[in-house]
Amino acid sequence: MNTTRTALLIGAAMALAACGEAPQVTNYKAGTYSGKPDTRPWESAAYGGDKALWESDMRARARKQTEIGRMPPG
Amino acid sequence: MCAHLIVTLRAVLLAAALGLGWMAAPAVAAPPDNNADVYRAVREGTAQSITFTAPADRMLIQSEGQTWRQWRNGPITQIGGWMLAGVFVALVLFRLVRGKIMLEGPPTGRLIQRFSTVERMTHWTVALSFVLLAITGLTLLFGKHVVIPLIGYSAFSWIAALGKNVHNFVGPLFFASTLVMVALFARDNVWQAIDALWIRKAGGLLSGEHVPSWRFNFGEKTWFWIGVVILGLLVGITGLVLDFPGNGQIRQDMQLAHIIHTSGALIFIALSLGHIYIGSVGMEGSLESMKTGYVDETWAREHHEYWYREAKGGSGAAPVAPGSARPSTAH
Amino acid sequence: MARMKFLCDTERCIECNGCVTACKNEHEVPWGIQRRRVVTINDGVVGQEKSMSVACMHCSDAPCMAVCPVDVFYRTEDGVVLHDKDACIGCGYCFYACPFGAPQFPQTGTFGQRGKMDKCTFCAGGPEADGSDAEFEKYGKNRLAEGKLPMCAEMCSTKALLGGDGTALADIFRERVVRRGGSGAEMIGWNTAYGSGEQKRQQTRGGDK
Repeated sequence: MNTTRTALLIGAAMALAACGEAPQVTNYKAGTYSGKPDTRPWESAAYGGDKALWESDMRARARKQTEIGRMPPG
Repeated sequence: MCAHLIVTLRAVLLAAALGLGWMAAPAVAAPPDNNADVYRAVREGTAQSITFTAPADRMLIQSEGQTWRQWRNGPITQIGGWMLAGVFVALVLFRLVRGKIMLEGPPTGRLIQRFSTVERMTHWTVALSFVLLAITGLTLLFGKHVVIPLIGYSAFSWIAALGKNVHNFVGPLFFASTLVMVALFARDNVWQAIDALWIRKAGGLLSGEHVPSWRFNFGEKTWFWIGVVILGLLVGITGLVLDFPGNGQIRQDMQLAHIIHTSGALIFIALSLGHIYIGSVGMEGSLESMKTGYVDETWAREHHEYWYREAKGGSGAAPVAPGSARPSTAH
Repeated sequence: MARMKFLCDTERCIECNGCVTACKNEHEVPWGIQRRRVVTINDGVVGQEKSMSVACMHCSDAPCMAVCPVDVFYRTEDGVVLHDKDACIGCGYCFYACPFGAPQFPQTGTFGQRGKMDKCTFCAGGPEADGSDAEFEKYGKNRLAEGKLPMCAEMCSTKALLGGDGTALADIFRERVVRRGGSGAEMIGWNTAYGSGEQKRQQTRGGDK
C-alpha cells in the first residue's frame, strides 16, 4: 500500500508538472544570443573573431544595395 | 528613454501638423495613403499567382497559422494539461476514499466466459496501440516543457523522433483495430432499460452498491460510445489526415485536423485513465476477465447480474439475489 | 548591433524569379523545395499588380519557434532564425504556423512522410562549423561568415529585394520613397514578421504571451 501511494504521489507530481505555464517562446531581446551552440559569423576563418570588422563590412555591403549616390547626377 | 521621449514628441508634433492641415484643407475623401487595402486582401487568404508550382498553397500571408498557434500553445496545452492532472488526482482521491473494489462474496471457483478470444485480441491491440499513441503524443505536446529542461533538447530529439515515428506507424493500426472493436462490441452496448437505474444510482461508484446490468453497464457504455466510437474514430480520422501529407490536404486542413486530433485525444486520454484504473488496480477480477476471458460467477453476479442470470440460462431480469441492489421499477 | 531583415520593394519587383533561382543554385537546395517564392497579387489588374519575393522573414516573434515540439530553432545575435536539422523530427508544426510558408519538407520518409525541415537561413548556415561540408550539405552556403549578404538580395537585378541590417535597409528605403514620392508603406509582410512599432514596444515591455 505504501509503495502504491508513493508511486501515485510521484505520478501526480509528474502529471502536475505538465501544467506549468512555461513561456512558449524564448523572448527575443535585440542583440542577445538564444539557443543552440553555433559559431558566430564573425568567428569564421575570414574574420577570426573581429566582430567590429564584420559589422562594418556588413554595413558597407548593405549600402551597396542602393544605387542612389552611385548614379551620375541629373 | 530619451529616444522614446523624442518619438513621442515627434508623434505629437506630427499629429498637430496633420490636424492643422486637415482644418485648412477641404474635406476630400482621398485614397488611403497606405497599403491597408492590399494588406486586408492579402490576409483574407485569397489565392495569388505564383510562377512556380506553389509548395503548399498560394497565399502570400496565411493568417490561419497564427490562429492555430494560439489554439495549440494556449488552451490545448494548458487546459489539456490541467485536465489530465485533474483526472489523475481525482482517481488518486477515489482510490483513497473507496479503496480497491473487492468481491463481496467468496469466489465460487466456477468460471463464466465474458470475452471471446477475438474480442480480447482486438481489445489488447487497441489498448496497446492506444497507450503507445498516448505516450508519444503527450511527449510531442508537453515534452518541450517537461522533458527538455531535464535532459536537454538533443537527447529529447532522439526520443521525439522515435516517438513521432511510432505515433505515425501505430496510428493506422489503432484506427483499423478500433473499427473492428466498434463492430464487435456495438450490439451489447445499446441502451437497455436497466441503464436508467445505473444513472440514478451513479453506478454505485461511491456508495459501493452493486447496480444490476446486462453484459455492459452504463459506465462501460459511456466509455464505449463517447470514448471508443466518437473520440476514437474522430482522432483516428484526423490522425490519418495528418499522417499522410501530400495527398491533397492543404495546410489549413491539417491545422484544423490537428486541433481536433489533439483536443479529442486529450479528452480520450483523460477518460481512458478512468477505464484503465477500474480495469486494472481499481477492481478485483476485472483485469483477469480481459486477460483470460473468464470471470468468476461471484464477480459476474455482483457486477453484471442480468448478464449472469442470462448466462446461467435464466431470463436475465428474473428475481435478483438478496444483497444486490434491486431495481426500483418492476421488471 | 545588426538586426537582419528582408525587405521587398513591391514598386520594383518585376517577378523575374531570379532570387528563387539564385537561392536554389547557391545552396543546392533539395529537389522539390524552394526557399524563396515570388507571389504576385492582383495578377493582370492594370495598375494594381504587385509582386514580391517571400522567404523566411526571420520574425521577431517567430511562430515556428513557438510551436516546435523539440525546440530546434534558435536565433543569432543578428536576429536570424536558424534551426538544427539533426534534432528536427519532421512533425510539420512550423509549416502549419508560419505565415509565409517558409518551412518546407522533403518527402523522404516512408509513405511520403516528412523529412527534415528546410528553410531560408539568411545565408547563415546552421550549427555546424562555418563553411564546413556538413553545414553546406544541410543548410547551404554560409555567406554571412564570409562577410556577404544573402544571395537573393545581393543579385536582385532591380534591387527590389533588400537584405541586411534593418536600419541600413530602412535608410535605403527612405531615400527611395523620398525620391519617388509615396508614403513608404509598401512593405508587405513587414508588420507580420517584425511587428508594427506599437507591437514591438508592447513586446519589449510586457514579454511574449
